Amino acid sequence: MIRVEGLQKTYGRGERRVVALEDVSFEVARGEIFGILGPSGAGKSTLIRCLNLLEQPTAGQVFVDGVDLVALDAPELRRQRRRIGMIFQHFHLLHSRTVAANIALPLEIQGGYSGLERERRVSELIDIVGLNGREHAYPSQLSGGQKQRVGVARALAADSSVLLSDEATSALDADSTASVLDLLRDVNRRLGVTIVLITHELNVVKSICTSAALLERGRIIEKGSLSELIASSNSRLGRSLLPGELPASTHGGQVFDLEFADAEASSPAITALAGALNVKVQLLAGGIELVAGRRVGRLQIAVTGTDVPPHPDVVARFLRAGGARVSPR
Amino acid sequence: MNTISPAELAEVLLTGTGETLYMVGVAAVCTLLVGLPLGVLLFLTSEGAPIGRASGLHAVLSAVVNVGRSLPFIILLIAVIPLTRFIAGTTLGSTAAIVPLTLAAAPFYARVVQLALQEVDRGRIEAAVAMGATLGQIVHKVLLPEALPGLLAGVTLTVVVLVSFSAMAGVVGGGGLGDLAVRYGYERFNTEVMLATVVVLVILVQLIQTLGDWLVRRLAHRR
Repeated sequence: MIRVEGLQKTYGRGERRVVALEDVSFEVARGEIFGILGPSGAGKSTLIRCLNLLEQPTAGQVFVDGVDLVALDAPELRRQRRRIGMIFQHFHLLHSRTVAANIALPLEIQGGYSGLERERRVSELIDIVGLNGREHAYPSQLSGGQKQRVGVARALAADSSVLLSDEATSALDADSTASVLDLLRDVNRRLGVTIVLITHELNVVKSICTSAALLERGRIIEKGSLSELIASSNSRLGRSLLPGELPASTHGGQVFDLEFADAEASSPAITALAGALNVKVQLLAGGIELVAGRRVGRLQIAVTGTDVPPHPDVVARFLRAGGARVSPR
Repeated sequence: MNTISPAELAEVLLTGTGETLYMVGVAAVCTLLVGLPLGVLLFLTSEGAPIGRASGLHAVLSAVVNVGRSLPFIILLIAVIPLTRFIAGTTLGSTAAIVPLTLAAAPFYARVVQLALQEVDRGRIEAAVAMGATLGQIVHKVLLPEALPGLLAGVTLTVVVLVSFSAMAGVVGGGGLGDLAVRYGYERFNTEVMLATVVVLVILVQLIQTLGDWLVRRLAHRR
């Protein structure tokens, strides 16, 4: 759906030349929710703005649905942009228009809709984003979460197949963030809209993305589907997606730190450990969460209880057989 | 003869008010028609504007506007007499005053428009660009509606300036309240007429300002 190749963006020239993006390439399949995670100043914003050419790349290509946006002339670029919706951290709704009129704006810009068709489409979208009853409110009368719902409706109005999200939840409180993320997941599933989002919040990637990339200093450090990232033991992004940072242990016995990409498979191994080696297994810290449809987690356990404790390697081998990554303390 | 009967006073005041309203009214409409597009162009071509950016054109427009704003109105009034004859077909009377009034107020309003448009959040303009809007659509669907309260407050400001400029219209026989004050009050030492004129002018300006403020408040209220 989206393919970015060798994207480069620099500002200024000569001594004051700043490289914002360096050789960025990635691909987003149709129907994916692709998250680009990175600290502030990593170039996230520049990157997502290059995807609809709000920012002109210095070099490289941006294909959306097979069309190279960089090669287009102005009228053709405008036509392509109409199929790419965008939502913003600060919403950027028009204060002079009501909710309904804000959502109708892309339809007016695109043209070819009668007044009646516009109204029908707008009320359809109001339903989708759950703003019934607020059609005639002005943006200043809405909460942040409601404003972003208007933003989403507006971005989808012209039957967009791609939605770009520029830190869409960063200005929202926790509850609104969760509800906007639910909405994004919902439009992705129900309407098949491909979503590319940038965020500095790991939580956003965790809760809705199907794949992700880590951007640092203008470069993509790693990328992949969430399950791939989690399964790979040397992926920084994958490891940061696991819950429960484990503390240094103060326990006297044999302590093991476990990570698992699939708790369905690994948990039975922990339970079975007690019987098989005739030990007591004590949970010290950690957590298990649902990420990308799989139970993943980190646990710290202590093994105690017999006069002659089993060799740590034996315990570790047993747990590894269950799919866990094990590091003895 | 220093006094004037109340009936006469009422008559000259009425005539003067009528002439002022005529000159200011028509000049205000012309000012809007010239100043608004000029201001939009000034904004669109300015450095840092998200669209357009034509520094050459901007420099020329900006220079023209600055010359228009720096000339004292009394000098402009006389300097443009040939142009006035060309446009209005006469160089005397209220109608003849409308040309210089517009020429003086349009650059002023253009700057007000430019400032009002600069206040529109860049992000909203960018959102429209991302939707695939053309430059024309951005101007009439985003810039002008979003800046409307500022544009309207600017009209009030400009009309009040026009009222004060119109006081000099007497030079070309334009009449009006200001002319009345000068002819009766200043030249004939008729304090009564001068005071009455000033009172009418003050009331007029108050009315314009109140109306303008009310409109702006009504607009801002629902946003």
